[in-house]
Amino acid sequence: MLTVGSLAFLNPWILAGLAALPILWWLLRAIPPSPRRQAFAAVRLLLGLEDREREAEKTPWWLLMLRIVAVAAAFVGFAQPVLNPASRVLADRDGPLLLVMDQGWASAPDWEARRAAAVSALDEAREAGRDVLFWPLGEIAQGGALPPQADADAVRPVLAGLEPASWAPGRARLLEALEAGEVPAPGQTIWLHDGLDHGAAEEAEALLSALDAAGPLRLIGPAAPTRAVVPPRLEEGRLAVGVRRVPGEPAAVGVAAIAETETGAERRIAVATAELGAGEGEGDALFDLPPELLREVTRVVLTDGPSAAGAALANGAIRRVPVGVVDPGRDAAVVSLTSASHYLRKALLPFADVREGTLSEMLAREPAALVLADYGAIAEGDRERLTQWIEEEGGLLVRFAGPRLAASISDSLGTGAVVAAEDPLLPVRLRRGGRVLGGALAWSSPRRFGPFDPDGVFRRLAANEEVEVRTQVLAEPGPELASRVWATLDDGTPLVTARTLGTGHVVLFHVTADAEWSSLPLSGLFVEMLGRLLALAPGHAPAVPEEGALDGTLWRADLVIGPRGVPEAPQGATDTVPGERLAALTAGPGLPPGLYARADRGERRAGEPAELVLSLMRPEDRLAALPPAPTGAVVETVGGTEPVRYAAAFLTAALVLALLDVIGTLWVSGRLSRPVSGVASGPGAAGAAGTAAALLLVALAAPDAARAQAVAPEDRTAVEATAETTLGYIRTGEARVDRVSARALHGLGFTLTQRTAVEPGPPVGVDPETDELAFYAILYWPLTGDTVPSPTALARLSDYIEGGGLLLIDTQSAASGFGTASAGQMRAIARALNLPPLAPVDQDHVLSRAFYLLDRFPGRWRGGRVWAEAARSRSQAEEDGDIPQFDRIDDNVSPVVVGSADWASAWAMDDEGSFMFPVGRAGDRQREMALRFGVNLVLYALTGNYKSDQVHAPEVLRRLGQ
Amino acid sequence: MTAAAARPGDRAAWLRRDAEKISGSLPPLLVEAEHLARSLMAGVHGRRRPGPGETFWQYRPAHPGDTLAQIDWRRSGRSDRLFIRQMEWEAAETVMIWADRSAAMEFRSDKAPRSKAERACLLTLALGVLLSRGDERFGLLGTEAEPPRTGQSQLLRMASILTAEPERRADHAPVPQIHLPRISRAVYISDFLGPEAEIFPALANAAGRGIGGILVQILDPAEEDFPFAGRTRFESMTRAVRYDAEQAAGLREAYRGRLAERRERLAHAGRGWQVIHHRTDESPRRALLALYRALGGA
Repeated sequence: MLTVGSLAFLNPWILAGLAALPILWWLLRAIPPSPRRQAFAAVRLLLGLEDREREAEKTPWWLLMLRIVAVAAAFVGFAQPVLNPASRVLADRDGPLLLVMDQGWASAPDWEARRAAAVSALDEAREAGRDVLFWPLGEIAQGGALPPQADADAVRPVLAGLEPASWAPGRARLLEALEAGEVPAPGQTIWLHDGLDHGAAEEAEALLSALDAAGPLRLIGPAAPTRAVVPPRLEEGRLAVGVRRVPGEPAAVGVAAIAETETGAERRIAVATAELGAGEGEGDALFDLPPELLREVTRVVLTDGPSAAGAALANGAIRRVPVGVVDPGRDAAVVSLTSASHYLRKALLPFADVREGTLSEMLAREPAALVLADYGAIAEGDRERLTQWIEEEGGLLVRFAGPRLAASISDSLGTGAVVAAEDPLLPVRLRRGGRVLGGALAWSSPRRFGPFDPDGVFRRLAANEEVEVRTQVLAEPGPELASRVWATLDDGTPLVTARTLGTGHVVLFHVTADAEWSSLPLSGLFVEMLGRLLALAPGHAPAVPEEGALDGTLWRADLVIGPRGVPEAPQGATDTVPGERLAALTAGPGLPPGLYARADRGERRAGEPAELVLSLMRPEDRLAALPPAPTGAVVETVGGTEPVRYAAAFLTAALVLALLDVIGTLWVSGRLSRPVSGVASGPGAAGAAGTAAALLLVALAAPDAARAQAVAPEDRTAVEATAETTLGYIRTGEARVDRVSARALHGLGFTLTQRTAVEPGPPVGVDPETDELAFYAILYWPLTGDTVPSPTALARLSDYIEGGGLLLIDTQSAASGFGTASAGQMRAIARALNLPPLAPVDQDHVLSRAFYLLDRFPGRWRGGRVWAEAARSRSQAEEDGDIPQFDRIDDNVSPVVVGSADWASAWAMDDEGSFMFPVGRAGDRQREMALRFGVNLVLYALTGNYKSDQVHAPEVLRRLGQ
Repeated sequence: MTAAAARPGDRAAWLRRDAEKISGSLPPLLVEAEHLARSLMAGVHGRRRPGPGETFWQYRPAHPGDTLAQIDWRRSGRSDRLFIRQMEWEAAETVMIWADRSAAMEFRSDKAPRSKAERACLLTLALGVLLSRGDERFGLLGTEAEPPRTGQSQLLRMASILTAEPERRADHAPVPQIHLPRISRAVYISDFLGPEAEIFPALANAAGRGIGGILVQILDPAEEDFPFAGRTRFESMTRAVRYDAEQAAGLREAYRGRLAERRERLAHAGRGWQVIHHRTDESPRRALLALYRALGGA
């Protein structure tokens, strides 16, 4: 290998060929291009002339240059130049290449670059003629067998099929194998690591030193720091997503919230950024979303560098919360549209699963939030549980004022005291009695909402001008009051007060939840305020199940986060996971992060969640970098200085230049631009160039042409035959008969187009033996001569009839089809076609009235009978003349119509629109009748027995008359 | 095809096709020639000179030296002077035409609409038409139509010879000699580019027989302009002779010198024979007019 700066040549000795270039130059100069041949009659006049410019005509310098460059490019190409060649350690040491590749979630963002780096390493091994021990970290479990040591080319397909996992790479087995000395001494070790220690710093350090001890170590790490997100949580009504990374440079990490739309499609609804300062390993991205949107978020993902840890499901923490509504004034028997519970239910439904019942019932259900509409005194037991629920479980208690609350305040005060004692379940102390604004005897008018605190829970909500507050309870002024007020009236009177109790909140609306005291419940503001409040409620699924809560249960993955951070259906849908394994909440092989649901039908115990979100990163997790590389190890980054191989490019260039040289040579010798003049021009020169060009064109165009031809013939016929109603005739092989058939159907088609809604396309002749017959509703078969079609043809025609086609057999002999010379032939055909019994077409056959009313069916000849399928045999009842017969005519269209009138000759029309043959003595009238028969026949074929009702019309009319 | 030809109907078809083939190419050339000749006759009329004939031409005063028998006494009686009655020259001339149809004549460059041979045939036939109108006798040297005759049949004979595909030919045909007696004129149509040693002695020989003659040299524009350049191998039409030029453009002047020299020699070759130069990219009428005038039409 020869190295020039960062460029190396794998076969440098070939470059010696470049030394031959001057010789080539000299040779090319010496040999001029071959002359153009020119026929010229006056050549004798030239004989003996001295060619003074003998030396002038040489190969032009640019053509020479072209050739030299082409040859040089070929030389350089074969010398295999490589830019940024890999370290040449392999060449110096024996042993295979140990290629270790982290296959965990952190490898996913730059997986392709990693794969390319691995391929490059394989290339090096192949060039050095070494085997490869390819060890993807993630595939081989503890105690598993070592990967085979194989030829580099054998490893390639394994590498190509490798995908990153959704969990941390398993490095333990490699460490174990190294320490046990199972791994043969490698010529070089390359570790494509993901830069993280995955919570096992000692193991990583041990692995690094073990690898270093085994042989020359090359560490290829990620170019960009890996990031991860932890499951989202709610913080002050905002969606907070924790971002984790290896501490380093300041960076802004984008996080997108993805929601499921009503149609089930996923949509990115918001993007937030977490600002991470220098050296900070964690930060939060905050989404300030409307509550109804907030509840729709299904997952959060990193905007770039997607990986399994870069996505977190939002289920549980922020999805729709269960809310209990307690309305003591509610009468279960009456559906009231003005009750508080109705307003509350309507307002809460966009955000929550609303349940209604008594306070103790609701408490038993462990809701995330409780709404008490005008609840008076709370029983002592309930009070305790409620307080505990708020303080410890972070419950949200929303209370509304009302007559009962006011009465309970008065009761608790007794007669003397003005102010009630502090009630933990009320945010503020309330005064006895409320105030009434407006009304007939009051001076004051109803008050309206004042502006909301821009930093409070109700930030950015517009104070609705139309909401009127007529009655309210009043808070007792006190030092702590100002900090507990969340909304006021325009005169500053507190309207919504709240206080934090333990980890939960208690909120009081100083008005009722129905429209008695204010019009607030009637406004959209009510819904928005409740939505904001519900954002304070905790999620319903506990992040970590209790100790032992999952013992003995079985779980199945409902949704799995793929290696690229995209949720997907689990691979092994039936694989169940025992609860004990899930309880550790650590993703790994066979336990991908995702949403798990109970798979067994066992009893649900109290406190046991119905579904569990298994996240790769837990909120308390941090990312830490891999320990520093041992001294002596080569440290690179993925995609940094990959060897770039130029051999292919150079060889391609050489080929292109050679092609250009051909064109240039032709041009120089004048064979390209102008045709050679003279009658006896050399057939070689221009011909060769032309042929070459033509061949090239053909070669380029050939695939298209071939494809175009591949689709063509049968399909085109099929398309043409089915695009329109098409009349078909059977080709007899006798040119005259076939021509008459074609012209006849043309004439009939013309008549049909003029007179009916049927507008047939050009008639098509078919060979029953080979062509597809199913496209044609009707086939005209001139049965002339003595030939009987082949069995194949008859079988196909039989299929055609069974498939619903109609065959018009015309013996063109002016005689009844079964009594003449062709009778035997006819019988043979009838047998082969499996024809039903035939009967002469009579007056009440549909054929006689499908369009025109006909009594005869003449063609060119008159008098012959027309046969069609005989009516089915009748039952006893049908035979009875007294019973009105409605189904005398068979429902089915006759599969065959046989006649001998030579309709084709009567219908035949040439291109000018004049009829080709004279018809009978009756002339035009007979032809008209023949055409009418044709029209009837086609309509009969197309519409079936639609017109058979006509046959019964007189009978129907007669009965109606009675 | 032989099996098909056995049927009588097919044979008729073949016959007809062949007949069309035979007659097919004949009329166009003849028609073209007649067309060309007719355009000429509109401008040039008759012989318009006294000579042996039967139609009165003019009376002229007798000069000393005129024989007594020539004097028209009736006219002379009406005045004091003697007059001689002259007839219009109507004696038929015999013109022999040679149309060179050697391989070299087939040359045609891109700029030329016709090959030299085609032009030569056209001129020959057109001249034949003109001569036929004047009841002159004419023959085609070196062919079956050599015995001089006049009339449409001779024209047709010539046309069929000229349109027939010639057999294998050499680059240059030898200049034919006239052996028939009482030939008044000879018209040689060729490019006269053959070997000097063959052309000029033969021409001198032909002229030496005391016959007046006209040489029509038909050249292709490429032969006159020599528009070639670059490395070129020039080959004669049969490829018998070739010449390799390294830079054809450099030969142009020398070639034109040679051509001028050849023309100069041609002008003196026939001792008073007239030389008409014609290029195939010019209108054939010009050459025909010159030819006709030279033949003594006017």
